Amino acid sequence: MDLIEETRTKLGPVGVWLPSAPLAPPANVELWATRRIEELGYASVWSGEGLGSREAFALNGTMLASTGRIVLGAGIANLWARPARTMQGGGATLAEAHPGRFVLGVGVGHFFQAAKAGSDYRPLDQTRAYLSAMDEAAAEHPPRVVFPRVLAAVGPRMLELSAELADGAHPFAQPFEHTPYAREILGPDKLLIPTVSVLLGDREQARASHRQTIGMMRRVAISHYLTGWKRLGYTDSDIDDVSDRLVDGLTAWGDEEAVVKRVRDLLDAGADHVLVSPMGDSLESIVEQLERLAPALAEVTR
Amino acid sequence: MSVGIWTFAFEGKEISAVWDAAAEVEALGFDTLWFGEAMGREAYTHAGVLLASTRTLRVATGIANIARRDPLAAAGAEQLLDQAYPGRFVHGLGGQRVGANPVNAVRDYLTAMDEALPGPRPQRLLAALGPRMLELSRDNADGAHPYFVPVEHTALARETLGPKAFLAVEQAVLLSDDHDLAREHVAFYVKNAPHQQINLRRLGFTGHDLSTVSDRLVDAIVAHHGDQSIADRVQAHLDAGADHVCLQVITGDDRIPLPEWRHLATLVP
Repeated sequence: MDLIEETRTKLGPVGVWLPSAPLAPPANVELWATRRIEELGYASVWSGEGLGSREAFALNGTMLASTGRIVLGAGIANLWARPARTMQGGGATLAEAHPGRFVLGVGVGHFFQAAKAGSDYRPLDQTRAYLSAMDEAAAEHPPRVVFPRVLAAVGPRMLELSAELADGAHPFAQPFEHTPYAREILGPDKLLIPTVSVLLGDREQARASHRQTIGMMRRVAISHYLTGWKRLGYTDSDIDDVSDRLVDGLTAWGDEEAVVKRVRDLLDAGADHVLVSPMGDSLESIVEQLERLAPALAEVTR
Repeated sequence: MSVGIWTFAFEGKEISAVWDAAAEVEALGFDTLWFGEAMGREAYTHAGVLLASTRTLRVATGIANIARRDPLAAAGAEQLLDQAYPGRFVHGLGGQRVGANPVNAVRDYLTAMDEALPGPRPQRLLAALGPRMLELSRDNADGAHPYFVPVEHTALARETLGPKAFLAVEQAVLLSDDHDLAREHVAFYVKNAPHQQINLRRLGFTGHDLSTVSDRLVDAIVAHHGDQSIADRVQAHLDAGADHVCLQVITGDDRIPLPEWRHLATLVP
């Protein structure tokens, strides 16, 4: 079995994405959450690195060492945090210590992160060069255990690059329609691991949360998530008003049954592994929703 | 007496062998395990692996090169490891081959780390040889980790560092009678590491000492005349102001020198 198929089998249909980079919980709280999520039967836990609050390899290594089965995903490890050789070395070290339990998501981040690292921002070229440099490092120091590598991708060209130079794509903050769109570009074989915002609650609560996120994205001038929405047919007024259509596209909200239905729909539309990401302002409230969702999500098959 | 083990030998070894070796270093009574970052494993990931496979041992990067990570990532890594393994991660940092002015580069890096994540952090020690990097170790970090140095350097380092900063000195040791291995070890650094040449000249070694890799130079860098010479050398560093001495066994091959570590544990408490 090749690495992609092995990873697909190991991951199964449902995992979790935690916003622990922005929440910045102490290590013991994150460890508690990770163990609890493992106990609940979820197959994976992913979290981002941000840049300036945490470091993907120390974090994932610690979580892997303190759990037994669950797969940890870097979603994503930021390209501006380290040179390609270091990224390759980190992935190889975790794979070696915890075979089959680590997926490396690599992402080019945002223009202000590039600026902070003293660089201009040419996402496609820089990502291509970076992945190639990782491959060169891997050729020089072949890892004892190979690990899957997925790419943070929203737009068509980054998705193409995911198919060309990675094992698949890990799109973030995209509406439902993005999954069939991404699958078409990736082709049938590559991994597609999207996140989906989940809320055991009503549309108004979901709208309030998205309004906040959109405001933040605009304040710091992150454009590519919003560009992704527009590419899929959402309008400026959908975004300005945080319309019902946009809220429904971005969120699996409602009761347990509604959430499960959305996860099933994403799997049917081409996702391999759906990362549910409950909305909440603390890991405690997020884990509580995951506890409520676990029995129903355990029934989902791919 | 605080004595540790310093090694490059984990690179390329089966991870289970590394786990077992780390656990044995702990069981032997050494208080700190130092490892170098070469081209294979990533330093903080490797540190995490070693911390997870031991219970009380301190694990030190010897060193994490600032060219290999953004300072914000380094700050995140040290904070996480310190929280997950309180008091057990020692953050050795260094700036070799980072451009014309390593002192400024390391200073800026430390500043960027502090700005990114203020708050509790683990002990930070800088790879330091010359007076300016030692001053930076004193003023902007918790101390220094000189590598490849004679006892005279330890005395000078303590003078510059003042009484409070932590001084962790690497000492090479050879347990076999194959003294050529000691000379090869010294020759490797003299040939390949310009900063080591500069440091040796500053300490009074001559061009002749360096070009011939003289006995005097080899003896100053490597303790290789039997058990007593090793115990004496450790004591000499401590007497000269070191807080901690970490021993790197020269073997001439790349195996993990567990038999030698076991033997060293009988020489130094």
